[in-house]
Formats: sequence, C-alpha cells, structure tokens
Amino acid sequence: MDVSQESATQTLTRGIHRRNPAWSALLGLCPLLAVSNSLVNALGLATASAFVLIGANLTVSVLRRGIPEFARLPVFMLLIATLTTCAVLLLEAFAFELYQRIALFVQIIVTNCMILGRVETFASKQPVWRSLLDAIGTSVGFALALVVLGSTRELLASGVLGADLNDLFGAGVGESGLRLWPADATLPLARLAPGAFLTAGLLLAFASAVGQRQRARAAPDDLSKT
Amino acid sequence: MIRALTTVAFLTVACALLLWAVNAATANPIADARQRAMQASLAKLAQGAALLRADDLAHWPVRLCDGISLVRANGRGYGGAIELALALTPTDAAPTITNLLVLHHSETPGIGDFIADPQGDRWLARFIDQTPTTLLARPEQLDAVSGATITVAAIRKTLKQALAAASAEADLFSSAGCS
Repeated sequence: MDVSQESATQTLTRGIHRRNPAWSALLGLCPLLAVSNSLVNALGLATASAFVLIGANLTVSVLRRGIPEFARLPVFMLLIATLTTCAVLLLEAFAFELYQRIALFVQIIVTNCMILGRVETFASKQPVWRSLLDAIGTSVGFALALVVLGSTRELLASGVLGADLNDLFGAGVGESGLRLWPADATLPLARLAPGAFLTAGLLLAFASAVGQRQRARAAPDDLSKT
Repeated sequence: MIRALTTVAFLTVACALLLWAVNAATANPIADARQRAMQASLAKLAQGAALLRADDLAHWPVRLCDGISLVRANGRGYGGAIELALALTPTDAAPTITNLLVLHHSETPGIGDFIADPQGDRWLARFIDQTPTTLLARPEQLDAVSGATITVAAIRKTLKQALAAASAEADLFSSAGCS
C-alpha cells in the first residue's frame, strides 16, 4: 500500500509489529545483541535511539523541501550524527553509571540503519505529523525488541529483573531489582555473547512464525504467501 | 546550486551551534558525575581507613592512616590508556597490594572490559596480596584471558612498574599527620 494513503494509526503501528525494525527488517542487530544483557541497559539504549530517530525524522521532514537532492545522504548523516552526539552527552551528564555500561553502543546509534532507513524512505517525503508518528512507532518497535530480549536474558542469567533501574529512573527506584527465582538456578550463558545470539535467534524465529501464521490467516487460499 | 550549497552550509552551522550548546550545558554535570564516581571508587579502595577528604585527591599518592597508601598507576592497554588505583601497605619493607581498581580504561566492551568489573566477577582480585616478588614470578594461576592477551599483559606490566616505583619511594608509608 502506498504509504501516503495509510491512516495515522497504520503509520504508527507499522513499526511496532508489521515491520518491526528488529525482528522484521533485521536492522540495528548489533546494539540489540550487545545491550540486551539487562533490562536497564536495554531501556537506556531504547531511549537514546528514540531520541535520535524522532529528532532526525522531525528535522528532515521539516526541511525536506530545502535539502538539495545531491546532498541528501551527507545532510542526513550530519543531522543523525549531531543528534547522536547530543544523546551521548546528555546520557553522560544525567545517567553516568548507565553511560559507563552502554557508552559505546549509544555512540554507534549513528550507524543504525533503522534511522537512516526511516529518514530516507519516509521522513524525506512525508509531512511532519506523519514522520513523527512513524518515528514513534519505529522507536516503540525497537524498544519492544530490546526490552523483551533484555528482560529474558537478565532473568535467565541472574534470576533478577530490573537490577540497577535507579541508574535510569533516579534514586527513588530500588537498585536490587525483582528476584524471580533463586541465584543458583540461573543460566549465566544468557548474559554473554553466545547467549545473546541464541535468545535473539529464538525471538526472530518466534516473530517470523507468528507473522507467517497471520499472513496465512489473512489469505488462507493463497499458498504463495506462506 | 548556490542555493543548495547555502542550505547545506546553514545546516552545518546550525548543527555546530546545537552541539556547542549541548556541550556547554552538560559540561558541569559530566564533570560532577565523574568526580562522584571517582570518589565512590576511591572510598571503596580506602575501605575503612581514615576518611578521604575531598582535597586529598589532588595530591597523589594519597597517604591514609593505618599504613595504607593509594597510588595511581598508568599503563597502555589495547584500546588506550589504563589507569589503576592501588591501595598499598608495607609488608617486610615491600609494598603489598591490599586492593585495586580501574579508574579509567578504553578496552573493548565485552572483551577487555572485565578488568573494570562490569559483572561483579572481580577479575582484579587475583592481584590482592601480591608483592613485587610474587608478581615477578609467573604464578601458575595467572593465565591470560582468551581474546584479551594485550589487556592482561598491560595490567601485569602496569602493576609491576607501580610496585617498583612504590618500593623506590622512601616515605610512601609514613604516618605523619595521623593521630
């Protein structure tokens, strides 16, 4: 469907389930794998990515008629890089302990194809309001993938959910998290790189299976879609 | 064409201004946060010895009461400089490491950053109670970490140099000024 025909709700929800950047488009997998070792790290990166994506979409959409055609990509990269640097500085200033854990992966948000992809295919051609909705939807979709993976891996590896949440939400939240099962019944592999690949792979497989079933139900007689 | 180039130039200047503004606004909070993190780390090192006053950090090595001194050690790891803080105590006229931690490093996250104890495994704890003699020998239990040979070698070298410097410094462990 031509994107300019879709409703506001469809623009908003496309990034969440129909075309989730992580498990449908397979973008941003490096930060997804690296930073999903705990819930608070995942939320931190989700917030930073949302900041950059929403800012980039808004800016490009506002300026879309003024950006010359031949300089499109350099200008997009300039804006995205500026926003990423701002995100890094703000994170370092206001969430220093979290920054110490995820600094590298916030800095490489600039290389996340999800952002350049949305800016190039959507924000550079669509009006501001639609671009904002698209950015919000895509950010929520990416955050959803990050949070699901982050919670799963943290729970598997330590039995505790949400340790160190005070690094992101301030001292009011406790730092010990919610213990769901005892510490000797854990799978530390989930916290390490191989565990990241395994859990992410399972998540992608699950999402793919659900998507296939949805498509089969939508067009039950069309075998070419399964 | 001129108009296009003007737009690009304007955008560049606008981005530069935004970065300058955000940098200026966050410079103080960042400096404060780093200072607080440094204080917290060093308080952990001091471990109940005479309380560190804020101005003690300006004069390294920091001499605490109870015969403990804090020294800073610099070395070069895989990704850049590594800065360690050591708590030393004299044993038989040789400085012994009672505690140590990493103040600053640029090692690769997930591969070399185990030295800074992100998961609470305290890899550095194997250097506690080491003296210049035991560090010079090659203890069998000190193996390298696969994928981080340079990092491990850098830590050992830095510690060796720091202990050698501490041995040479005559009044490192004087308790002048303590009650």
